[in-house]
Parts: sequence; structure tokens; C-alpha cells
Amino acid sequence: MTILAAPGAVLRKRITKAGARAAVDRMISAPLLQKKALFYVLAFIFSFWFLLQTTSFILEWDTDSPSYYTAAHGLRAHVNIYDNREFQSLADSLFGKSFVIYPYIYPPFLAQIFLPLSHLSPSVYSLLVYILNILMAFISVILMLDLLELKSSRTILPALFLFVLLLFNEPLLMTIHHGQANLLVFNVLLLSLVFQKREKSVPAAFFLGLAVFMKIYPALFALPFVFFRRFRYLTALAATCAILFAASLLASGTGPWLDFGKSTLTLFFKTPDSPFIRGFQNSFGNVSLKGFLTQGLSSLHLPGPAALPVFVLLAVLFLILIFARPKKSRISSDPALEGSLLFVLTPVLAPITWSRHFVVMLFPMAYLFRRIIEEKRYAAFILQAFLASQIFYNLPWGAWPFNQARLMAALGLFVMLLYFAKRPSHDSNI
Amino acid sequence: MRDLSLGNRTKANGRDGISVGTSILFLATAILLLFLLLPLYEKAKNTATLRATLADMHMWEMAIKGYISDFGSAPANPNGKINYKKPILRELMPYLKRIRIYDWWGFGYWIWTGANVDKYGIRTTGPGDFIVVSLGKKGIRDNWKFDPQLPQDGLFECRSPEDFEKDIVLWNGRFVRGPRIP
Repeated sequence: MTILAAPGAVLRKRITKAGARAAVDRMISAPLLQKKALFYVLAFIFSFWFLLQTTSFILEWDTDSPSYYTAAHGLRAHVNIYDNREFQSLADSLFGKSFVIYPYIYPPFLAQIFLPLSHLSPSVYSLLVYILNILMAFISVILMLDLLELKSSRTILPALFLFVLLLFNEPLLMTIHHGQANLLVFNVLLLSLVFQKREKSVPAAFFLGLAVFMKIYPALFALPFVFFRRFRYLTALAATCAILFAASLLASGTGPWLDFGKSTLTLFFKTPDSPFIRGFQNSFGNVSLKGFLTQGLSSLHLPGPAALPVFVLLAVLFLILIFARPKKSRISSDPALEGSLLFVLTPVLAPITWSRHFVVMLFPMAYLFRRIIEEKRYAAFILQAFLASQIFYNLPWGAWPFNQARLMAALGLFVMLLYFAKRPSHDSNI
Repeated sequence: MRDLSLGNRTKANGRDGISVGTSILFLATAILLLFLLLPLYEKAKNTATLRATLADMHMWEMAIKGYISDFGSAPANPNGKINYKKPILRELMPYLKRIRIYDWWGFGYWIWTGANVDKYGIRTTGPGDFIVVSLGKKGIRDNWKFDPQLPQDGLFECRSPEDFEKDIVLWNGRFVRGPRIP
């Protein structure tokens, strides 16, 4: 009788919110999860597994990396690297006529960084870019550990979470496979945030300026300097930009910058002549907000250009949500939170965003996980895990709106971060 | 008077939270719902993707027809595969509302134009003939052959996930292989 009654008693046992939280607490505070040795062993295993995933990329040669290589050659040969025909014919001379190369749409400064590497043969260059990207991935983990103050945390979980993100991360793998410069820019931005946290305005502004000159999107990270009246940083940033611009002009002249300005304005406000760019804007793989709106309007048989005013309105709304009433939130006092919100917005607001650009979500994800553990809001992790699965593992195929799951998940992450931004500040007690 | 409100009753009895039995039941229902809804979601995604791909193929058809009406023949594209370097893309650009060289499953469209093309058992005869193809969800060409005696034989109903993997073939503005459109 007692044996039969026992399962019934278990089923009738009540689970309370406080009880469930205490159980997870006990799990997280378990002595095993406080052992640094366990962290090092697992971090090593995860890192090794991550490396194994990428080794086959050494033998491949894909898209972005040859584009930078060609752009660097173009600067040396005084070719307009923003003109598709000129760029393509240069690529033909470097790689052969059968090779299809992606257009180069970044500032000339990035191509100038690749100038020394362009003297190498394509295969040696490709291998070097692969190694640099692997190094960048690990450097980004070290920078995030510092920025999120995870080295001194009681439980190893948030630090370990970073390695898990490294392992199950399709955008990261694609970035390494394509030889993209995303990780380089990501690390330079993280460095800027590290120095902002330490209130060192000159190096913080220098690294931000460097990132802005490599790709345009980091300019978003300068907005807090304006809205939160950090004039010291703003002055240092202006000086950095002036120096970098002058150095770039001295190296390659005004031509590349004029060509770049013209092509960027066309990208935002006109129908481009290049079939590449027009194709990119309409591709199912463009998971930017502008891509979402344009594809949505065209699937409803409405004119695509109507997307621009809606895009501008939404962009302004997102910025208001971050920068309005900073005293009510902890955004202005927490560079990691500020950076997390802006990192989420970068792929959302770019005119063309591919899945691999979502590699920058590493940081906001790690930040959110830290806050969840710190504030013991474990239920929020269920939502975070779902969003992470969409951002890091969703395949982008499918008609609109199914192809935009990654963008929607990024906006979900933005809302979650805003929710945590409004919560009272906690000292790190994890 | 008896208090029937659930909140007060549980508090009065000191029974906060939910029982293990209820939570297991809730979890099982959620898993069951997920298993039921996932195939529905997948079907909706596949159907929307198929429709968008058909619309794109129609867009290619209209562009080629526009070009033919201006120049008398379709632009040449010897190997069929479309990529951003192909001259056919530049030639058709003024006639295309949007440039989509990939179908919505992420695989490139194939376009053969002109006479003497022999694909899927279709042999083109004139300079204005053209074939536009999407290789379906898996991007792998199937072994279907066109039968002139049974021109409707290549059309199919999309009932199972495998049906979305079949090729879609548009020949001179007519779907000879693809979903049956009511």
C-alpha cells in the first residue's frame, strides 16, 4: 500500500517559484561549478572541438577574403574598386575568368590594412587570414571575459557559456570560412569598450575610430558620446578620425574615398547599377531591417522604395529606446550593456546583412546570460536559449517572412536587453 | 459565504505553486503541441517558399519575353547556370523588377535560351525559346523527362515534404514540371 501510494505522493508534491529558483541556485552554486580546473578542462575541449570544425576551411577559398585581396591589389593599381566592372576584371586577372567575386563595399581603409598581405600568393594569404580569424575568435573571448568581469565570478557557468557560444555558432563558422573581417572589427570594438569601462578616453576613442574606418556600422558606437555628453571621448574620436583619414589619403590619395562615398550613397538612396548590389538587396539572405521591409513590400506587390521612410522611423525609435531617459536605466553607466544594445542594432540597421554578420551577437548573448545568472531570473534563459538558437543556428532559406527569423530573434534580444536595462543595478555577486 | 476564487483558496490552504503531476502534464502537452505544430510550420514555410520561387520564375519569364519583343531572340546563356558575372544578367536588367539569381531555398536558377537546347527531354527549336529551372528544396536535379504526349504529366500536388524537392521547369512561359495550380 505504501509502495503504491509513494508515486502519488510525489505527483502531488508542489513546486513553487521560490522552490524552483532555490533548486537552480543550488545547482549553479554546486562546488563542482566553482572549480576553475573544470573550467579550464572544458574550455580546452570546447576550443579543440571548435578548431576541428574549422580545419576544412583551410582548403577552401571563398567570397569575402578574395574580395579584400582584390581591393588591396586595386589600390596598388589605382583601379576604382567600387566599380563592379573594373573590380571584376581585376579579379579575373588575379583568379581567372571563372571566379565570381563579391563586390567590395567597405571603406578604403580596410583594403589598406590588407595591402601588405596582398603581396603574398592567394593561397598563402588565404591561410594567413584563416589563422588570423581563429586567433581573433579566441581574443574576443578573452576580451569578453574581461569586459563582463567573468574571471572573478563565483560560478564558472557564464565564462563557460562563452565557449559554448563559440562552438555552436553558424555565423562565426561562416565568418571564418569566408575570411570575413567581422571578427577583426568586433575585437577592435570590444577593445574600445574595455577602455571605456576603465574611463580611458584616448585609447577608447582610438579603437572606435579604427573600427569606423574599417566598416561604417561602428559609427553607431559613437552615439553614446553625443547623447551622454562624453565630450572628452568625442574630441578624441574626432582627432583619431582626422589622423586616420589623413594617413589614408597620404597612402592612396583622394580617389578611393570619393569612389567609396559615391557608391555608399547609391547603396542607401538609389537603385544601384551593379547587378551584384541589386541582387544582394533582394536576396533571401539579406536579413537586415531594410531587407525585411523591402522584401515584405515586394511580396505584397507594393513599391520597394516605400521601405526607406519606415526603416528610418524604426531606426530612430530603436535609438530613442536606448538613449531616452538614461537616468531611469543603467545604460549610461554600464559600457557592457550599452555595447550589447548597439551590437544588436548593427546587423539590424545595416542596409545589407548576411547571416555571418550576426557573429557580433556573441557579446550581447554573453552579457544577457551573465545578468540572468546574476539576478537569478532563470526563466528568462528559456527565451534566451530560443533566441540564441534562431540567431546562431537558424538556416536562412525560406520565403518572406520565414527567412527573417534571425532578424526577429535579434529584435527579441534587443527587447530582452532593454528589459534588463530598466532593472535596478546589481553588484556582481555571481 | 464560500470563497470560490482559486487564488484565495490556494493561499488559504497554503498550496502555492503547481503540483509535480500538473507540471508533467503541462510539459507533455507542450511537447505534443510542438510535435504537431512543427510539421505544420514546415509545410507553411515550404509552401510560401515554393510560391515565392514560382513568382520569381514568372519574373524571369516576363523579362526574357520583354527582351525577345525588343531584340527578336532571347539573350544567350550557354551553360544555363546564372551568376552575377553572366552577360545575360546585364542584358535582362532593364526588364527585371528585382534581381534574384537564387531561388528562396538558396540555390541558383538555371536559364537556357535559344535553339538546340536539350534538357529534361525538351528540345528547343527557335531563338525565342527558353527554359527556366529551380532545382527545388534540396538543389539536386531529378530525373524527370518531359513527355510531349502527356504534357500535364509533370505537374504534381505538394502533399509530402519530398514534393518540395522536385524540380520546377518553366518552358516558354508554361510550367511543365511543378505544382499543379488550381
